[in-house]
Amino acid sequence: MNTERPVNLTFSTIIRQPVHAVASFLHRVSGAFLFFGSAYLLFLLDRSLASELGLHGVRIRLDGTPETYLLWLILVALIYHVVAGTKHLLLDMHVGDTHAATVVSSYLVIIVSGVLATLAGFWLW
Amino acid sequence: MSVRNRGLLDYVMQRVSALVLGFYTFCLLGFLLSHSELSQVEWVGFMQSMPMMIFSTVSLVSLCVHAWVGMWTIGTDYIRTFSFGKRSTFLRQVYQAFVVALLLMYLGLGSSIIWSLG
Ligand code: HEM
Repeated sequence: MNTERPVNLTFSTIIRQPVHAVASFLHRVSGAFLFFGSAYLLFLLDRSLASELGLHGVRIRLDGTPETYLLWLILVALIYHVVAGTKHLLLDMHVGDTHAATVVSSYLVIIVSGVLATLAGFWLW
Repeated sequence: MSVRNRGLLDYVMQRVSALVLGFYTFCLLGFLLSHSELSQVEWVGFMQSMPMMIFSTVSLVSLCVHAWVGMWTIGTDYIRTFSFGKRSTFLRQVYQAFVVALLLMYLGLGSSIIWSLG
């Protein structure tokens, strides 16, 4: 093995990434989170469709309880994943795929998602 | 499509399913936002109408396809010989079996919820 190969184990340079890398990684994290979060959404759908009492139960569950944060987190992941996913699909069609444009659009994705996540919070609480 | 084009097929399926899921999310959130004092009868009437039941089913299948391709990509990115040595193939198979099992559960439970078979 080549022991002279370059290694980067300096935490501060591993953790400091350009904004596109951060935006892309968050897209991945939100996707994986949604994979598990879907179970909870299916559960809510099942309860709410089952009966009058079921929907009432869902309302009580999500009435400013700690569980409301879980739904909010799932919504935040969904919002971020869709906003970043839209940017991704535009890039696939070569819309805004210059370096300068992706720096702007990556910040934009994070800011727009942040605003929508806040609005989702107001909606839930 | 030939095996050589599996990657292209995955790429297209992931994008088509993303569009379906995005449209479905948009419709559901739109409905919920415009009906804040939703009654159960209204909610069931909306979700158990034929167009919505078909739309939900198509979206559920899209979710499975989309999440499979997505989770597969994540698995092959991180569970590699580089980090896990000889065991990586086995570990990846366990991981993929877990992903498929959970998605099949979503598909089964989801269909029975949508078509109220439960
Ligand atoms: C709600 C269920 C959803 C789940 C569970 C989910 C999950 C995932 C996962 C795990 C990935 C892989 C991420 C990666 O490779 O880094 C992914 C990728 C992707 N998702 Fe989703 N997603 C969902 C909905 C959506 C929606 C509604 C859109 C619409 C814009 C979307 C757009 C995309 C795109 C474009 C990719 C490809 C990214 C790439 O090629 O690297 N997803 N998704």
